Amino acid sequence: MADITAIAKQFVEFYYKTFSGDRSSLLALYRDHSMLTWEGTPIQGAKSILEKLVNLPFGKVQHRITSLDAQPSSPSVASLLVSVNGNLVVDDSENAIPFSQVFQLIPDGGSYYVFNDIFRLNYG
Amino acid sequence: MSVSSASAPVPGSKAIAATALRNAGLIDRDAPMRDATDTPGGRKGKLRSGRTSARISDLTKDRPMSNGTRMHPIRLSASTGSSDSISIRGAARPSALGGRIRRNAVSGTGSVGSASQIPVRISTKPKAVEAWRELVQKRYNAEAKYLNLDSMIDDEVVKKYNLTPPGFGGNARDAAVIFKLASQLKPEVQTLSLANNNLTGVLLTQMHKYLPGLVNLSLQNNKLKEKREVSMISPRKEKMPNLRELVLTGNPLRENAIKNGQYAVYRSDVVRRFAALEVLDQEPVSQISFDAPHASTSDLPVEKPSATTFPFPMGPSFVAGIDGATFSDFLVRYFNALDSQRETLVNAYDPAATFSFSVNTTIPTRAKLSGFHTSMPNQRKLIWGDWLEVGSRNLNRIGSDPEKMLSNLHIGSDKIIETLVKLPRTNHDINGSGEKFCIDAYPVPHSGSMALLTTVHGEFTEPSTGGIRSFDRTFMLVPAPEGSRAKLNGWNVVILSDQWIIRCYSSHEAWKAGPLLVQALPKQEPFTINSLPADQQTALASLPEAQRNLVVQVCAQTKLNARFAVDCLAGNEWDLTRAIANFNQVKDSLAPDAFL
Repeated sequence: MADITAIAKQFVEFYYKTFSGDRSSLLALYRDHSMLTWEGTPIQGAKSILEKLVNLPFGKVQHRITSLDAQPSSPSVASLLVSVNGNLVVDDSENAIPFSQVFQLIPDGGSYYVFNDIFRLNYG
Repeated sequence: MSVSSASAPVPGSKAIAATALRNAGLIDRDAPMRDATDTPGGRKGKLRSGRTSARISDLTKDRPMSNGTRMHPIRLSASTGSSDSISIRGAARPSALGGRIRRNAVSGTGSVGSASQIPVRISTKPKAVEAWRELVQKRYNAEAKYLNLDSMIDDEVVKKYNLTPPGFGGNARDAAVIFKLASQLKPEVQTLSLANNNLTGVLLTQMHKYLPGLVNLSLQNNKLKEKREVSMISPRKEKMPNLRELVLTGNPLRENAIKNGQYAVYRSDVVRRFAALEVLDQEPVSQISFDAPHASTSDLPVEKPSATTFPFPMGPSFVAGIDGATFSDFLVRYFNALDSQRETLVNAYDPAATFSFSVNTTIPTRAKLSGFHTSMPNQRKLIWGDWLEVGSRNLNRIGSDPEKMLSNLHIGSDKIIETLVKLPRTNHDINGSGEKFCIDAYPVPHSGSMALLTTVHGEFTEPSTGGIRSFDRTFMLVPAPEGSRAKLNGWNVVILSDQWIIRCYSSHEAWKAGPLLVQALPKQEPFTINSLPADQQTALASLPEAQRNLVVQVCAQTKLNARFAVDCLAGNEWDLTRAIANFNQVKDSLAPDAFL
């Protein structure tokens, strides 16, 4: 179980670091049957998700995590749910936007991919 | 296992469907547990229907279709034999039409269109177009709005004119001709059957353009093999928005999925491609269909972001794949019990469920800008200690203490309740404004069947202080198994996993769709005589008060300085309206020193 927290932390760190760096590298973290809902808009498939993320209307982005939790998403199936609160700093704006994001991660080989991803701008 | 018809789906999905059916049959919206108004504020923002704020309770209402009729008259499904006892709220009612479809179809030869109205710009010979027109019109039952293009290769018209139907030598252009002809039928085609035509997705790419209003579509016994062929029928951006029923039985895509134990994945994949599908392969898909007319937010009438707002507006809730009544009942019951009888929630959790909560003490920007922490006196009485001492699992904070992290993950319904009862009391105003809550929920494959991944964002009051907190909650829900403790206690869904983030209160309209304020708006002080420079104030002191007030008004509206404002008014007989009109005529010729 301690594993879960380690995986969640590593994943989140990697995900947001990649997001700030080369957003297009996030493609590797999604699959064709992955689903993202971004502010209530459903988007399915790694390519479409990436298109959405790459085309978000901001250039430089930094995610500052304020809270992080993780659990197995089910007692019987290997997968985990990671829920994140954080602040989104866009183009060096001094006004960070809080966000909330939930990932469902599925083990695949030695690593994990994002099966489901729910993103919300949050209570700014 | 038989794969020849939908009456033999894989056990997992059948169980889910059966559960859904029973749930729907059992749950009465007006049942004593709650009445229809007793539902949570579901949604931030506007639905496409133009209501100003939607709630979960809206999901339980029978949603009218865009054309105002509640349900389409025709179903493609054969009866499953039990339809009489089945009723899914808001979902299609399986009906027993099967055998009658063909009879209906051949009777519809009455409508004869004008022969020259189709400027088809494709290479099919005009003669062929007329032949296809003959076939399409012959096959249309206008009364039922049903176009039956089953087994076109066997049709006498096809034989007579030696036509090559799509799938039998005809290409996508030929198919487009047929769809175009179909689009010209009056009244508009609602139900289309293309069964037994050897069709692949590539032949169907034009269908959604010509027949975007289709409600029922049968592609039974064709050659669709790949998932992407379903996308060709319903491209992501132009999902067939009205399609309620789809039949893919007898296509390799479905039959292979069944063979490989991927049936649930197949259903989920297909259902996701359509905005409003309710019946797939003759099985109601209330558990796994897109429920909503608000499947995307692209045309919401929300304000555009401005310089002081985030470059992306907030969207409304997204709820898909669950019968609205079931979902609403769950949320209402859960949050009511959480507020008043936490110990009864022991039945709402799976015996092996997991729960954790984490505290996020960061004060949100918007709350800071709005000054809630000073202007709302009760906010200052809130203390985090009551929460923290029970064991917050914010991995971002306590990462150095693995033992604590572990003990703060509560496993099993009994342990979960033990923890929940220790936490401060809450009061969720689930009947309140839709702008106070936001929900994302959609089905995800889980262990051979489906689960519902759900996030709820919102706020609650702590009754001990009257202060308000915001929260984010993530649930993994599955239908409660027959005979389970949850089921026996009336919970139709059971929680497998629950994560609760408690954080500082953000805003009265935290979840209102639209721009997100990130900078304080410039304060608009009312313009008074004191807004003028001191020397101008002095100069005005000699004027009678009535005239002085007029001058101030002119200054406020025109930004002229006091001297020019006086001149302007004097030249217009101290008539404010005339003075302003006069100013507007000459303002471009005024020197900069005329202004404040």
